[in-house]
Amino acid sequence: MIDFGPHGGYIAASYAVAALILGWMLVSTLLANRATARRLADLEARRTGTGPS
Amino acid sequence: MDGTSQKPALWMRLANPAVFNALANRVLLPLAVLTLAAFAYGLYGAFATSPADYQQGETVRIMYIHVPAAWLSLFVYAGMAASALGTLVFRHPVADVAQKAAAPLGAGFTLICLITGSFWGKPMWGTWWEWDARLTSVLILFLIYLGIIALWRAIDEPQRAARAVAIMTLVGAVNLPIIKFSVDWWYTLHQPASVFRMGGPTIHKSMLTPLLWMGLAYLLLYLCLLLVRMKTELMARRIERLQILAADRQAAGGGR
Repeated sequence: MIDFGPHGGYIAASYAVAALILGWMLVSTLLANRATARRLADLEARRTGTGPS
Repeated sequence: MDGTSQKPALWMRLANPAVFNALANRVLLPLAVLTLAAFAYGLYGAFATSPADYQQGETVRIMYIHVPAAWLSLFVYAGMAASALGTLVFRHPVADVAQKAAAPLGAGFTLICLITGSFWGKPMWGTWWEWDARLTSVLILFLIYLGIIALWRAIDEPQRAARAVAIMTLVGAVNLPIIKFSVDWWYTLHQPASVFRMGGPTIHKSMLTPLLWMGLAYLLLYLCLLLVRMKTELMARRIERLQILAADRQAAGGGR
């Protein structure tokens, strides 16, 4: 285990917060993309009559 | 077709969503791989090869996530200002898509900058926050990002929203030089620039190298996320058009 001295807690908290925010940016971006792609595919299918009636 | 006719510039061809999507699909995977590699190498440097600072001690390791976030918070906004010009002056149809996709990412980087700065400030300055010119101007940048996101959501019609947001973005751009030069113009607790400055960087190569790698990693991640978000926004606009068409058809059918 690396010893970051008396301020180790501040360093760990900084990296945790950065990882959390970057992770949120990544996950929210991917989820929104997937949901929108699904909605568009559904609409296109309905428009061309190939989707569920 | 005339044999002498020239292909339009890539800038103009990107106005076509199909061309943009094809290009984005081609570059996304290599970009994602490069992002992971840059983060891996940057973090290795930040923890394994970078020494503790003679003044800050181990706390200097916060710099590797704080400073690149600060760079990106400015870079993203500068890109949004350029997109705003693209919307208002050139009426490029993808410019406002880029601007809308970038705003939450810019807000995210600015938030990282503010929070990690606080975590660095407490042990080094003895305070979580100080209302000095640098910290305050970055907080204002964060609030401008939130304002831009709110404005996008407040106006339903995308073209009207794009124009309003573009004007707000350009007005907010006045904050960029204030942030950059705040440490020179006013007496601030925040230290002056040590990387992008006249006369070159003042920090040692052993710390500068991982810092630049982390900066590259943040930049590549931003580009990846921006492309995916732009693709999402283009799909959302197509959904809107299809729904309007369907509603028109239904209205025409009902009126007969």
